[in-house]
Formats: sequence, structure tokens, C-alpha cells
Amino acid sequence: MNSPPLASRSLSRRIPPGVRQRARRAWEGVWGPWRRFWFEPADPTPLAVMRILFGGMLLYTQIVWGLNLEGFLGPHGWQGETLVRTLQADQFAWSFWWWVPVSLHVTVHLVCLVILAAFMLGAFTPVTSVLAYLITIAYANRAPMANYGLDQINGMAALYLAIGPSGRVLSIDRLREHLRGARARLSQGLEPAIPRAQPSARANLALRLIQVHLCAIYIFACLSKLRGDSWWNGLAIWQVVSNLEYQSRDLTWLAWYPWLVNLLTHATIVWEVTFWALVWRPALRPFVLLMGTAIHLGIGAFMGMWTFGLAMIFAYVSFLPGEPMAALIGRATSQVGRLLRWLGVDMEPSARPGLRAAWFALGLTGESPPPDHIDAQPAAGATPASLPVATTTPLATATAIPMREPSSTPLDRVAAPGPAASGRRDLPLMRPSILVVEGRLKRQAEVQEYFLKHGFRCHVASELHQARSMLAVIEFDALIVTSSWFPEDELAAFHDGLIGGGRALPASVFLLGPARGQTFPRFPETSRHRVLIGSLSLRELRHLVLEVLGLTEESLRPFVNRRSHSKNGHRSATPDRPKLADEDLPPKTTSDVPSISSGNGSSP
Amino acid sequence: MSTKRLLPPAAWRALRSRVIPIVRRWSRPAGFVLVNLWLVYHLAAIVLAPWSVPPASRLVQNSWRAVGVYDQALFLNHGYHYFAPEPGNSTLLGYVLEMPDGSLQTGRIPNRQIHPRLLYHRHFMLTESLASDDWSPQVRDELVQAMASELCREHGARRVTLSRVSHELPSMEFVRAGGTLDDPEKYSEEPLGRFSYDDQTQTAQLESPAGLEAERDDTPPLANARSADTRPADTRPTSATGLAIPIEIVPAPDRAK
Repeated sequence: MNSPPLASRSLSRRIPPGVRQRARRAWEGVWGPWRRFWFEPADPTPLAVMRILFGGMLLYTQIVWGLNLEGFLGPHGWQGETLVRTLQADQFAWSFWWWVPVSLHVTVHLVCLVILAAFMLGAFTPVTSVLAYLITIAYANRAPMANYGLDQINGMAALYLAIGPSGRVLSIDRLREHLRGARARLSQGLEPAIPRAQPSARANLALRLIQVHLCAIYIFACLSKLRGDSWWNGLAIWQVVSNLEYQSRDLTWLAWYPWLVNLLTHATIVWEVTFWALVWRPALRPFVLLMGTAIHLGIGAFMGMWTFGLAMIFAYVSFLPGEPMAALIGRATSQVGRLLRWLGVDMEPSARPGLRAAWFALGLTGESPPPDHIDAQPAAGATPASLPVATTTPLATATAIPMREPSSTPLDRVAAPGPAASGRRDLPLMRPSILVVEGRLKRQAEVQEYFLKHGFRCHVASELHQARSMLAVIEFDALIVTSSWFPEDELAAFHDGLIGGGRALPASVFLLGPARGQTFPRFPETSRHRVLIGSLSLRELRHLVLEVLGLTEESLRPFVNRRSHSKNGHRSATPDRPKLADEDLPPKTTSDVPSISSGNGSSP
Repeated sequence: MSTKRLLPPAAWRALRSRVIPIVRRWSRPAGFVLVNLWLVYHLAAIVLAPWSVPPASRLVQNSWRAVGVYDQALFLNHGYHYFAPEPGNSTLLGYVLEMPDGSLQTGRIPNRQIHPRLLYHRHFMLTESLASDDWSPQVRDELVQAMASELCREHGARRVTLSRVSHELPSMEFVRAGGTLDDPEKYSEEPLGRFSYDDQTQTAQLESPAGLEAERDDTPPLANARSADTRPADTRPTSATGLAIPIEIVPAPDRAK
């Protein structure tokens, strides 16, 4: 039972309903954005790219320590044992190098390099990512006086890459997983399907931590600069470039252009002080990151600190969108596959299964299907061409709205037209799942609360691109766009994508503001996709949603007032189902069968 | 051996019917709450670490105490003061090595012969530490001694004389008037002492606070070259030897703090 404890029930009775409701809304206003910001599932591709980049950087950094291992880590080196122990006497700075005998220094160093290389390549990532972090700290803490910004950024990145699932894609771990899957499918006579990695809340958490930490770094870097006169009088950049020990290229010609020196100094400060605010604005983010990239490339090119500059640029990857990055990588690998085929290297069905499996696992066959995609298509040549195909996924539209199997949602099993489903359109097996795209947080909370109360599963998205991401991973029956703030072109493209996707994509209701005009020729309507101008009450909106879903209010009665529901996209372990007798359950259709059971050409 | 076999049947039934469902029900929400609490703490830690770098208020310094151990243990205790408060003079280490055959080798650290560039920067950060205000005199003395040991070990020298070299930044006017970045006028040198190296213990001991030149003519090396610097020098006793080493109080740049 999900009833609250007695004490809390009696307490909640004492609070007036109005106060309770306001408190709940206030709580949702704080908790909702917090939860979405930190825990909304995100594509792990940026994290994996950062793992490769920072893995390489960590490896290089430790290799360089190794060029004078005894000098930097030895007991009688630049920073002798007595010196560092005195320095860290009252600190909790630790390093395993204190326990490594001098005779084993080289061996341990080589082991560390192997671990870092494994981390970079994504082998045993859950373990090697943590070890990479510990190794980074151990080296840095053993030689604290030789540290600088690079070690700080390395440490930060290694920590968050250990927290997030950085090996979920673009890794040897993933490749091994794909190879196993591909071999199994090939052995069954089926064509392997390499699913895209599922978005992950842990990936989002790690990426957000990197982003926030980067903002903290810049704001404090700027605030500390503002204590110095030269950053105010515009001469700081001159002092940087005229430092012979830093300089790697002669920039003394700047002495004849003081205005340029002033401009560069002020621009640096303005960029640093505004980074934390502007980088969150999608429209400004490219400019902020490009400016940062230019500054850090300048640090690398003119001050010789390539490692530090590159490390900062690598951290910017956390701000890049995951899905386009994954799609780009997918396209690149498929291009490699095409190139190989053009060169005559192709995996014919007669090729060795191991090689064929590797070909598929590397993604050389083409673009990856969306997550959860179950491709039941038989492998060419392995089974007769007449083998029935269970389902096929339509091609993605220009708007790149990810699609799901048309019959994969519980509602569709009933609501889809057909003899098996007819007559049961008003009896869903699970709560209908809807996605509300609304930019205003307060409105989000209101709509979500209302629909949850009336028997729906309700998810919210603030932006259209966020809705696209959610469509890729969560099964929705309907989508409601209630905000009129989105650009009309983007909205129309999104709408077209939904219609073009057919039953693979959810039904939709678009509420367009009256300010947009009276006619919307770019928003054609169908029975599953309704477009309305002006405003609707929540009740009217709910009825409209029921209409596009082909449901009645009565059909959702079993779900109304049930306490357990999911708001964050995770289906509960025990799905909310009304009590149905076995005979009430719809008979299985062919689309319910996950895959063809054997390769002998007979359908199940 | 499984838990089922370890426990009596009644206890196993009670565990399975009562405890496990409760644990299952509460483990996820409890874990989620803990993650959120950690997140708040972590955010406080990454903000308080740079904020508590002096000058900082008593409130911030006291708040840092709540996260200091966490920051230090996770290598997050950084100030991020890159080229702040302002880019300053460079500090180098000058040395004169006395080889076993009596010959002398001179040099400076860092120098452009150190490759790759990251290794150069490692050496540069070491010598920058000589001018840092962050270290106590004891730490600075030990650093100088460790540097002497390492130089003798690397080159196989018997003795080494060290000096701290400050490289003053040239102004735009200086460059426009024809000055160069490596103009000798911009360098000033301060002796750190002469050290003898013991092969057995692999450590260098301070022999004399003055350099070889000082022994010859009783004047500190390049003392006259420090024309622009009129700041008084502070003479403090070293903890290791009890000998006095002149240590200049220079407001150091907080580079890469």
C-alpha cells in the first residue's frame, strides 16, 4: 500500500488545503527545475568524447612526469619527501607515491600509464575511470609545487568522468557489448542492430557538474583578477605577453598598439565575468564558447601552455548537445564504412561471423537506430527473402524527431486500429502517457498536476529540443505544445515531423497563441494532430487529448486518484493496470512479438 | 554460502517478508535524497575553495572549514587565480655547479632546452614557488635545499651555488625605445647559498649563505644590478641550519594558485 504514515496523514489534515496546495506548488517550483537540471537523462556521448580527450591529456601529463620521475616523485628530488610532508602537514592531501619504494617507481608509473590508456580507450571504464582519478590526484599531490592550472582542470575532469558513465559509448566496453550482441544475432540468422546508448541521469549529473564547476572557475578567476590594477588599466595582457619565460611567440609588436592591448584586456575580463551567465543562454552559448576557445588557443599558441589551453577547451564539450554529436559520430562511422566498401572492403554474408560481427559492432553498416530499436529484419543471405518482417521503422524526418516502434506503447496495443484492437479503444492497459512542452515553469506545474490528477502520466519539457530528446527515450501517447514562445519555423518543423512520423510518433495538440494570426496554413490538422488557436481551459484541453487518443473519460476512471505515478519518465516496476480478466486482454498481434524466433523461414 | 543458508528458516522468512520489502521501498528514495544532499555539499565545496583564498571574510573562512577536508581529499582546494591579481615578474633559479674535477657549470632553470613544454612549465612552477608568499620560510628553505640536492644529483656535482633570479617585466615604453625582453637590466639576482652534496644521503647541506663570488670579493653577486628594487630585505634565520639567508619580501603573483 502506498498510503502515507499515520502521523503525516494527521499532520496534513491539519493544514488547510489552500496552504497545502500553495506549499506544494512552491516546492514544485524549486524542486522541479532542480531535478530537471541535475537528473534529466542526457545523452552520454559528450561525456565519452571528454573521456577520450581528457584520457589522452591525463596520459600525456603522467608521461611527462615520467620523463624525470625521480626528480619529481623521488624522495630526494625537486620536492623532497621532507619538503612536501612539511608543506602538507595540516592538509588531507594524499598520494600513493608515499608508499611506493623507489625501486618500484618505474613499474608503478608504467602500470599507471596502462590504466590511463585503458581509461582513454574505454576499457573496464567503471574501474579505470576511478583509478584514473586517483592516479591524477596522487601525482599532483606528490609534486604540489610543480602544479599549475592544468593539474586542477585534469583533477576536476577526472572526478566527474569517474562519476558519470563515460564509457557507455565510444569505448572498448561498448564495442565488446556490441560484438556479443552482433554475434548472437548473426548466430540466429538475424541482422545485428546496434542500439544507440540510452540517455542517462548520471551522465547528465556529471555533465552538469563540469559545467557548473567551469562557471565557478571562471567567476573566481575573474574576481581575483579584479584585485589587480593592470586588469583595470588595460595593461595586463601586455604583462602576460611580455613575460619572456611564458612567451612562445614574439608579441612585442603590441607595444606599438596600446589600444589593442587595452581592448584585449577588457575583453578578457568581460568574457570571464559574464561566462557563467551567458553560457546558459542557448542563443549566446556558441559565441561564449567560441570566445573561450579563441582565448585558450591564444594561451596555447603564444604562451606555450597548450596543455592547459586544450584542457579548458576539452571541458567545453560538456556544453555541446549530445544527440547531434552522437548523430555526427554515427554519420562519420557510416561514411568510413562506405569508404571501405568503395575500396572493396565489405563484409559479405559469406565472411567469417567474427569479422561480420565486428563490422556491425563498429557501426560501419550505417547510422545507428534509435534507442530500444529492435530490428527483426533477417540478415541478408542468412534467411529466405520471403521471411515476414515484424516491424519496420520509418525513416527519420528532416526534423529528426526520434521515432519509436508504432506498436510499442501499451496504449497503442489497444488503440491501434485493427480487428484485434477494435472495440477496446476505451480501455487502456496503462495510464496514457503525455508530454507537455511548455516554457513557463509555473504553467508546467499546473498542467502536469492537472493531468496527473486525471489519470495521465505527465512529463514536461521546456524546449522543443528537450521534447525531441524525451521522445527518443520515453514512450508517449500524446504530446501537447502549450507554449507559443517557440519560433514559428521551429514549431512548424516539429509539427511536420510529428505528422510525418505516422503512428510511430505520438498524437499531438498544438495550442497556438492568437498573436500569431488567424490562419495557420503551415500547421495542417489530422485526426491525431490537432491545432488550436487561442486559449483553452485545462478541462477542454484534457477532452481534446482524450479525443485524439480515441479514449473516453470513463476509460481513465480506474487510474484517477491512484497515488503511484511516475513524473520523471521512469515506468514503475509494477505498471498501473486496471484489473482485467484474462479474456479481456487483447490477443497478441504479430507486432507484440519482439523478434522472429528462428531463422528457418517460419513465422511464429 | 548464501544468506538463506546462514540464517534460521524463521529469520530468513522474516527477513524476506518484512525487511527486504522495506529496504527495497526506501533504498531508491533514500539514495536519491543522499545524492541531492551530497550535491549541495559538493557545490558549496567547489565555491568555498576559491572564495576562502585570502583576503576572505571570517564567515567564508569558517564555512570553508566545513568543506576543507573534502576539498583537499578530492583535490578541489584551488583558488583558480590565473594571472591574478596581476601578471607579475618571473622568478628563475640560477646555479653554479662545482664538478668533481673542479670545473664550473652555470645555468638557469627553467631554460628553453627543457622539452617538452609541459616539463618546462613544471620546472617554471618550481622556481616560481621561490617567490611565492604561500610558503612559510621553513618550507622555502627546504625547497631551496631540495633544489640543490636535485641539481647535484642530476649533474653529478659536488657543490652548487644557488641564486634567485627575478626577471622584471618590461614596459611598452621600454620596448618602443628599443629594449628587448631579455635585456640584462631587467634581471636581478639574489644569492640563496652554497650547498655541498653528500652522495651517501643524496642530500645537499647549506655550507654558506653567500655564493662563490661572495667568497671571492665579499659582495653579493649581481648586487649592483638590482637598481630598480628599493624594497628592504628581510633577514630571517633558517630553521634547518640556523644561518641567516637574506630573503626578500616581494609581493608575489598568485599564479596558478
